[in-house]
Amino acid sequence: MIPFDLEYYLPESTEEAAAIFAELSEADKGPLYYGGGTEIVTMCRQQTIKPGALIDLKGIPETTALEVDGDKLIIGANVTLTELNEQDYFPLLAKVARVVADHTVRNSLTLGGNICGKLPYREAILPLLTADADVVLAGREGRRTEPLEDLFDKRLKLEKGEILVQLIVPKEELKRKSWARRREKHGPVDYPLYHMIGVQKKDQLAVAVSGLCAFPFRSAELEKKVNDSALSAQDRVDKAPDLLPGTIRNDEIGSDDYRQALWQRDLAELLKKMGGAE
Amino acid sequence: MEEPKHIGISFPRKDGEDKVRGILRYLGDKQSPQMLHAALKTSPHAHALISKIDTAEALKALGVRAILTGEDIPGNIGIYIGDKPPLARHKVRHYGEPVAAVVADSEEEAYAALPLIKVEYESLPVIHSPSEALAEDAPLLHEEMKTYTHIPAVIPEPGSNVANRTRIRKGDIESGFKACNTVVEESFSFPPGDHVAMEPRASTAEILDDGQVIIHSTTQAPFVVRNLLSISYNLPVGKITVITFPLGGGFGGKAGIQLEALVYLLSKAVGGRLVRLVNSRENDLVSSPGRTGLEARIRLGCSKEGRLEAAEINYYFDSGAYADYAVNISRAAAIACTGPYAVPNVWCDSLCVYTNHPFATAYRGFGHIELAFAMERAIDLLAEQAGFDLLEFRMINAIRKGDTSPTQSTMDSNTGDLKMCLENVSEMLEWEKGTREEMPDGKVRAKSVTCFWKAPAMPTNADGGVILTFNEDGTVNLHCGAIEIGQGLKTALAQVLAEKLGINPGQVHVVDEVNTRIAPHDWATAASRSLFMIGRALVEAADDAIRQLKQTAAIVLRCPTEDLKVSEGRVFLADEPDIGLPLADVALGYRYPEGNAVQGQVIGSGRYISRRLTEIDPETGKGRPALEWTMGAQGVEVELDPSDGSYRVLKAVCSMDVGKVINPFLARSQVVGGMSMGLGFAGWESFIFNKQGRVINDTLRNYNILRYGEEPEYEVKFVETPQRDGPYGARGLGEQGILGMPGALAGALSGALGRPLNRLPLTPQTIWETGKEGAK
Repeated sequence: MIPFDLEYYLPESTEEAAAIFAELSEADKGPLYYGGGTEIVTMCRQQTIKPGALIDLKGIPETTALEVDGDKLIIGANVTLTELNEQDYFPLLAKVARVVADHTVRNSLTLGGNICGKLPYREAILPLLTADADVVLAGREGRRTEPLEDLFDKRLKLEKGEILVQLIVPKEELKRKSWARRREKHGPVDYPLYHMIGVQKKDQLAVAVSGLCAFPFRSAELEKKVNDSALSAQDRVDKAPDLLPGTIRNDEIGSDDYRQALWQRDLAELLKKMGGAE
Repeated sequence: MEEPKHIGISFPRKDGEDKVRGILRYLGDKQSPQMLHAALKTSPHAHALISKIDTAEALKALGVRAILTGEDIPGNIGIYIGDKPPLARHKVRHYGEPVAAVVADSEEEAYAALPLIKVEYESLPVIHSPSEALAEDAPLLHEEMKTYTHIPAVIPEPGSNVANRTRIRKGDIESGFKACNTVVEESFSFPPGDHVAMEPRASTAEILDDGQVIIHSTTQAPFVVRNLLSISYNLPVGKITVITFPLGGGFGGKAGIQLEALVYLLSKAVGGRLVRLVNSRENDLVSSPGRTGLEARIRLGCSKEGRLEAAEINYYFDSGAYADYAVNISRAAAIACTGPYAVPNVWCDSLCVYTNHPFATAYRGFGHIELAFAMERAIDLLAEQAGFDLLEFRMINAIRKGDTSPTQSTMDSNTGDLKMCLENVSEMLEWEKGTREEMPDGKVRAKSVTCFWKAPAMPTNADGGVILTFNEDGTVNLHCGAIEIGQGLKTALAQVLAEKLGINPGQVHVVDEVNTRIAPHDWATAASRSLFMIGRALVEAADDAIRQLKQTAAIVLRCPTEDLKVSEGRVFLADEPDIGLPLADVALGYRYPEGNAVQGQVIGSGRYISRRLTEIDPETGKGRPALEWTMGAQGVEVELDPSDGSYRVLKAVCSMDVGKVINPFLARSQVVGGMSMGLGFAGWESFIFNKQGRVINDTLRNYNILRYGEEPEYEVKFVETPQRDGPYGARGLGEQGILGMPGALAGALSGALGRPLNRLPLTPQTIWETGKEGAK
């Protein structure tokens, strides 16, 4: 139960959505874009946020697209994690989507919501970071397509009122050799201690991690070290913690020591499995 | 005696289909247009003075009818000790404690008004554990303790944070330890947590113009609620009606009184109008009571032959901010303090201690899961140190007929066969094949065994009753005051009645709703006593009905009543079965063809009250507080990855002596449900507190419970040593499946790790950390 009134809009185009957002912001309604609602509804119920309006983006056809267009895979921001789990175009994304939340939640939870949400994990971003995806954004000023890498720093840097419309993944990135490991406090249905993926790109290993720090990341510095063939695999693993872009989380899910110990072990296994250890 | 037809049969549970299809409506699902709705403003602090509450703005909010704060309502409530104001007064003693309640036209409006209530607090030092509470310079959580009313069996210690101390002094502890060859001493602990029943608690109240108070509540104890409301608010008990529908799980969490008192006061504040208060999940976790935590210190010794000689036991129960049922939990744990072992010399102090944690009430096992964890760990440590096999050591010490309990009460001929239970566990776990195995991939498999026992912890005059009425077709309605909380009680009772009357269980209609004005008096649906006690009352009621059926039939059939028999839906001459009448013709009186009628309807009644129970001596604990003991053995096999502490429970087994199995499927389900809950208790669940004593996992997003896919394979074997005063020889089995599991999980993981794990919950990180310490 959401114990306060709010306005609900279901626009059918990004232009309409952006216009409504601008208008409602002007009117001080504190609008939020709305995807699956799995975070927003909880926070509204607990009254930790009180938006005056929700603008549901699921009525915009491009945001629910999931198709190959020439040499690209187009993934709408409102594709649910269940749908991602069930698609065959991008197996690593299917694998990552499968372990977020639980099945009932995944039926609602959208890719865009997972990436732009308040929770620090945002795991669905990981395969998109390693795949060098592009993001399609739309706002009042029109539409732009940018490399995800340029716009993702701890979180997706959207302009105010801007909408995440789609993610575009080059076809050659879809079926690369990959490895993923998600660790939880105890059982699989939980937030992760961390979730790490490794992808064998042309001549180097791409690595992205969620949960280890306060935000998901793919770090050039860390990758450089991981791929440094001058060092033994053990040396790379030993030095890896110094190259993290933030401190290791220490919370009720797990201590920093435990996270680090497990992560280094898994990194060693990743190097071994992906042949990066030579 | 004839083979029973309906006892020992897996008759499908009567409430099963409605529950599975989602048709059953719980109390919180029922709303009516004239209802007002309440919501609670709760404390973000674990311990603080309330310096100011400003409700002015909230009172102006749309739809708001009334707001109560602690200052508005004098007096305390409490099941054994009157220590709890329905809303915090002057100070808050735990995170999540309600400080104000709003009544509004809609639930939305009630919740929307909560942020408008401004509360100012002044933080106080926080007590995080029983040992902190017992420290000499600890702040007092209840300065007014000596003014609190309490029942005589509970002994609070004003000037301290001790809400109850129960003493057991059996034999001579010093000479007992002198006779020992091996002695171990160790501490064990776990933090408090919650029941996490599927259905959050809910209550409604309405006060009629003639002073009648009508309460609907998700309670396991409608008669207790009625009585405590009467005492606390000086209401004539007959003017109060408490109505309860089947519950979506209780586990003890709904056995006390909390929301009922508050919602009554809220109704009073709005002129007696119907007010509904339904817990959010967050409130259900931390504002309503959860379960106790425990710190235990045990010194245990055995002779060269492996016989337990002496046990010195300290239990410190963490009751949180208020005593509720926890004072009786600490008492129950003292009464059963050694577990099901023959120990000639016992010294036990079992304390219930106030802390700044959410307060604790009854929880499945009621002191026995807590003591079993501590004792079974101590037994493992002692057996290992003395060089005995863990199962053999338990065999040597298993309590049996003729031994005495910690309260010096002699175990009678109804005592269950614990050795047989241990043998069954040994067989199910293939104990003889070894208890620890290192796998090629570095993982380690290990097995464990534990024993448990439990008797109901209840008033010496706990009672129950049954009324049977009949329908035109000869079928029977079964009324009693016990609540269907998911345990399948009413199905089992229907089987007992069907057996007595010689009809099909489908011809018994159980009354699901309990209304204290209609149902016969009943203590509470708690303590695993319902099948035993209501079962006994039911047998008496059935005999009463049979007598009346025969009386009517004897007139019509012109024969002595003693020649008649009731079976197969008929009453007939035992030696000439063709001569008889269908029950439909006599159940509502017999009508002759010309119109004359005789005798009238059959109304069977029966009752039961606990037999020959006594209070215990405050100095020595001597007495007979236990109606019947259900005991058994359990064990698990785990596979541990010592490198990261992760593990899987491969198999969990239980053998329990239940006297007689009434419904094998329901009995197994009940036991397996308990085992699953016990694994969750041991490995997954508990509150996590920050340094300020706030619960940081007060939502189901982060309060971990065992999930469906994490369940092991379960195996259950029942032993049937008849409880000769029980219905068809049956004794209670509702809670017991949970009891030995925490010790079993800790035992198996300790065995796999090669290091003792004496604290719960057993998360992979704690196991990893313990392993690392061991390696140093």
